Amino acid sequence: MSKESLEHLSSLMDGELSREAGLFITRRLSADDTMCETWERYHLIRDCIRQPGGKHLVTGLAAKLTTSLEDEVAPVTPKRGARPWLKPVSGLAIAASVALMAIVVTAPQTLEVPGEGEDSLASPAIEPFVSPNTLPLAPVSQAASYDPSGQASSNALNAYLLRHNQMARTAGRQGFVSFVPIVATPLTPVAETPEDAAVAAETDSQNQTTEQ
Amino acid sequence: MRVLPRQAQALVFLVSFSSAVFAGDSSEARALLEKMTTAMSQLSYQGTFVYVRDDVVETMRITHLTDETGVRERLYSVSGPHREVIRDRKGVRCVLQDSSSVVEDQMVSNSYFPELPPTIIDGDKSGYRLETGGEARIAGQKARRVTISPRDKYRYGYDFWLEEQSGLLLKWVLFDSSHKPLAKLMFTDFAMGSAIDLAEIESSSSVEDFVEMKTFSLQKTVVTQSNPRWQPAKLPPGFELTSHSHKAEAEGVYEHMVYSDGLAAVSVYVEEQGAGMAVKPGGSQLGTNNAFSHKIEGVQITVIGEVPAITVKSIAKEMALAIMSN
Repeated sequence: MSKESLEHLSSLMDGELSREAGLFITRRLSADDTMCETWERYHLIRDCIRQPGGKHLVTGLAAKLTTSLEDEVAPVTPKRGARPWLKPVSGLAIAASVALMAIVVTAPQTLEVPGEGEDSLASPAIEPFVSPNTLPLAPVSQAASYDPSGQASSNALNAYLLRHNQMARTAGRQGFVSFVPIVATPLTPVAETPEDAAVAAETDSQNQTTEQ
Repeated sequence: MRVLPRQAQALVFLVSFSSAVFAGDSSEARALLEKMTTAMSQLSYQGTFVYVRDDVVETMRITHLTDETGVRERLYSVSGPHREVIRDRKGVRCVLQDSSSVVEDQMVSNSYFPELPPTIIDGDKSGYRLETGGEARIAGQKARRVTISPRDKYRYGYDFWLEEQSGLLLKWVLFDSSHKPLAKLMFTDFAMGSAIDLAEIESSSSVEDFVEMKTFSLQKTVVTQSNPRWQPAKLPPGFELTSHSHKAEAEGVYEHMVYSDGLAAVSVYVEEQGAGMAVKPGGSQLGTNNAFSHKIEGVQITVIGEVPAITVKSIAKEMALAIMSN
């Protein structure tokens, strides 16, 4: 074994070899018994210096390496010429799948509405993958809108209620309680009942008659 | 002399006793109610209360001061958008931050407003039944309950929990004719007299920050004893006209009538369309108050009050018929 190889072995022990050189020496260790024995000897010397009289763990490394290599099942390699096109194609398929997943997961959720001529029953749509972390299809909150007439109506009713509470002495029985609804709650329109609709229709017809 | 059997005697005694108890109970309830009315207007108090209506819970604070200058009151929301009502001798100002507006109303002289006799809410023809209930501890104070139950669907009922000594209101429950609770109010802390913080009466709102919404139609009005121009032919049982005001200047139509059954009150506003404030036709709800608006023959009719929707709607309809037939 050359002096250079011994220096490399020593450097490997001290962790001073580069990764490539380390791999090279390790490969040689598995095939060169002499080198393996030297490796063991170096470790033994180092352990004796560090822990005199201690238990030395590195023993029979060469034999263990040899046994392990013999017991290892050789990997089955595909025969040359058997579907040589499959390897690049499978690589492409994996890359495409990853790209597709990325698009499905991260793209905005826009569902196409079938056109008039399309028959959705003839070609049932495949359920798209939807990540549980994506945003819902429709925003939860409705678009904010300012209704000036609604606001004016609300203010008008507040004003009417202020005057009502002042005028109605009976409301004074409960003191401030009469004013609590003004502070507490904005105006809520009441859903129109059939009776409301009838009254409104009657009012409209009367108004039309008056205008004529 | 024929002697009644023992069971009959016991029955007669029980009926007489229960009648006496109910009579006493009713008069006691009436006395407590009068005590509450006086206390709410003449004492100084301060506190925080929660107001619950439907699923909404809001926290508010009230400071009510009575001194030689008169009554000053500040009610404001502690949670949600800043809204407050200030009452003093000048009138009422309502600051609504979420609608960027201030609604003002002049002080109304109610010298023409007739005093309704307390028996009006407790007579045989009354729409209510009065009774006193149990005791409870609210906001650290001992309270007594007075219940006013409606006899029909045209009015609401109330549970008042009153502070035992002063008669101040500590808890309030509004319920419908089937005794279903519609809204509740309860103090969580409460102080009276010298214990209140006087600084809280000052509003933190800068009026300049808000857009003022003048209530033109409500200005320059006078309360009068004259008959209103229009009157509904029919009213819900027990309701009668208690106040009428009209515009002082001869510019357009403005009539304001208040109808009351002794406890609940309903206002009817009749204004010329365009001259007054625009209210959307149909029903609306402002807290526990219901409103109904009509537009007919160039005038707008708006009925509002803390009564069921059917009451405001029926009065509005009758008023519309009165205007049409005039």
